[in-house]
Amino acid sequence: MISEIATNLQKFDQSYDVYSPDLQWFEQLVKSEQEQLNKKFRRDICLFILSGLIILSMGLVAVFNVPNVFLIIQCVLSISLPIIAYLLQRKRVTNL
Amino acid sequence: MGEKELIESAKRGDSLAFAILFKENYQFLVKYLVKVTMNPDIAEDLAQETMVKCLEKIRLYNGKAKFSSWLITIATNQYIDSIRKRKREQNWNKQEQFKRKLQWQLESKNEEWTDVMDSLAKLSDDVRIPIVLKHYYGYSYEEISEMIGIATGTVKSRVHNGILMVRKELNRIEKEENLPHEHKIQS
Repeated sequence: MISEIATNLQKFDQSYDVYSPDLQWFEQLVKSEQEQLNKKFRRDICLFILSGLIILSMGLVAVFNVPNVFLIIQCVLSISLPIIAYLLQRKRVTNL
Repeated sequence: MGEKELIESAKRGDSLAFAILFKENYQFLVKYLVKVTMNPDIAEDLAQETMVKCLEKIRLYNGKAKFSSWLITIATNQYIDSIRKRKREQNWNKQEQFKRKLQWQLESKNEEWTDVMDSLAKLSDDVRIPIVLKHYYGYSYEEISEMIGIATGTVKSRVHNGILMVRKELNRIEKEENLPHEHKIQS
């Protein structure tokens, strides 16, 4: 049965014609996709820098205007983040 | 320029190197996709989507597997994703239509659309893909498991069950073909 499947697929492969476009078509496709990828990369970098600046400026405003709130947030985050990480890790191990 | 040099140039962003690599592998890729999808239109669309994905991921290609194997890994995953998104395989009428198109294409070249091909076309994609990869392209169960991201045991059972289904379907076709003949003899 297995050899019959392989033989039939091989016959199919040999008799099935595929039209292959010329090299220029492939190059054109590559160039336009590369352009799209570059645009996407530039957009992502801009978004990353922008969100970084927003977070940084919010942090600076908090430090200079409401230092107490800033300190509380820092304390809560530095205690809760390791706990959350530990709980997530344990959940992943029990799911395995 | 050999394949390795072409890949290195492609990694540096050389569009001509990419184009040569794609052109050299295009027929292989489309033929693989036609066998897996049993649908020439989807196969050509997926081949193009695979090339675009390959452009994005070329830096991740480590050269361990052949470039063509890497391409069909991407193509298979693209196809599995597209099934999940669009539920392409549920459209039975269209699938039949495409099967007939393939049939016609073969018959126009005086080749027969065999019962084995018909049985393979009736299998679901998640069974047909591992069968084609295992018994036509000769990949090991472990390689297929890595390629399509499922456990080796699952690949083995899908291949095994798929072969049984093909055998069953062929027996059914054979019985159906013999039935009118027996009637004729009796009358």
